[in-house]
Amino acid sequence: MNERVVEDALRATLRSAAPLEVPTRLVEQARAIPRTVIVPKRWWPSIWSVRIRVLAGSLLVMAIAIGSVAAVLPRIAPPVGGGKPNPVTVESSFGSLMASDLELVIGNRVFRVPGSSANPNVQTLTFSGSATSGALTIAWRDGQIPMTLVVFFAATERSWWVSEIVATDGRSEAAGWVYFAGPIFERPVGSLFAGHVVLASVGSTYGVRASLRFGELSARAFGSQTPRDPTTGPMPQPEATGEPIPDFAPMVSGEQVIGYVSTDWQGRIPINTFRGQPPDQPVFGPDLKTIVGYSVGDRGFVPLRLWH
Amino acid sequence: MRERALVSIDHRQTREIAFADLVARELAAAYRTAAVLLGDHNEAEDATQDALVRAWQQWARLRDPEKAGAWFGRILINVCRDRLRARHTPVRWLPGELPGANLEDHGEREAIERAIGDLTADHRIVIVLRYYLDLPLDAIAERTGAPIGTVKSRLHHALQAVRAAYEAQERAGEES
Repeated sequence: MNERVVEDALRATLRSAAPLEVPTRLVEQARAIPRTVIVPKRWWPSIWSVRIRVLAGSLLVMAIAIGSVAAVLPRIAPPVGGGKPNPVTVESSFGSLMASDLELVIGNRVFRVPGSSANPNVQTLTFSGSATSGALTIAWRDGQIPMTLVVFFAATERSWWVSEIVATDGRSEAAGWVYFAGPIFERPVGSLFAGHVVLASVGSTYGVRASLRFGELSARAFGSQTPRDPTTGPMPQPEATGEPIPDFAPMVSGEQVIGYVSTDWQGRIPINTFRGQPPDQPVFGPDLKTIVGYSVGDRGFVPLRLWH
Repeated sequence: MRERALVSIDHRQTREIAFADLVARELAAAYRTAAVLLGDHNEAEDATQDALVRAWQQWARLRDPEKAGAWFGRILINVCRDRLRARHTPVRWLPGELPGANLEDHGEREAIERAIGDLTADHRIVIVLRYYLDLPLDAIAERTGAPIGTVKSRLHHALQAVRAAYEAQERAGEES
């Protein structure tokens, strides 16, 4: 007996036993599991939970001591983020970003990032990109202050992420930037990122500190593109036409390549309106994902460790 | 000096999204695999639901989200194995839904179905993983938690039983 004949007959028999349709009830029950099934908690404490409880107890004692001292001191900073939620809904063919609340806090001041182009204070709201990068740009006026928030997206064939977020620093004139470094929110291509997120700034033009808070954030990008791995190459010449433009160009110092600069973003960031200097460009490492420094007008390449 | 950018993320929603991804990707294949293993569509529905509930409850143990599909596959096999072992009598399969199924002789198909129905739970599992899902031996070992040598041995014995049933039916057909 030919073994192949038996194996083929076995395959055919097994396949004929498989149902074609998946019951609708099963699909609905499966989707409802996160809402209906409670994850049981262990009743016995693990060694880590004991350690965490001891640590939490110590911190509580310290917090009470600090609170007692703080209560007798004059209050110098106003409360932050105590107002109504500021929902955001931005959708385009490239992606979507929704949050129940979005606040940019710079120093002691809270800026509520407008959530849709219907807001009369919004001057620019775009969300677009290519197969390897994209940006959500929101420019608006907060009273007399022109504000801009740019969320940069990047992707490979396997995953997408936010590579950096930059925002203006709230000065009404000669504003600078605050920087929130990536990569963050990384998800497989086609998947949604969801969660409550608080980011702390990692640097700024004038040394201010900032934070960015997304309540119930859900984001997805590269919906209109099939992401591919980015390519590198020499910086394209302005007159070059018809040639494929690389996604990243090497940044060279002397003989040494110190990183890669996105060629796609270069023309899109309206940074040249600030301080009259060329754009601050994030410089990526060889993985084209991790920011290793910035190309700063008048200063050249500034590694991350020197950034302040 | 730079500091950590990411202050906090609430992982509850991230987990829900990842679970929804898993359901979207794996549900249909899991249900069909359970149906082939258990030979009963209603029980397959229950087994798939049980496996998904276990996956949700044990999500914190998933170390590599990229391997969620294989991890869920192991849970499903465990659930089906428990159900097969709890049976006291072999259960015949439902009639196949694929018309023809490339087997001209229905007697031979019935013989194979009977042979699979008589296999032990572990032997039936390796047969289904190898000849229904077309998994390689190392993937079967990973899915069942058995050493690869054990998988080879189970596959050999299971296939021997199926071949014997097939040949017996073929001889009976020739004699009649």
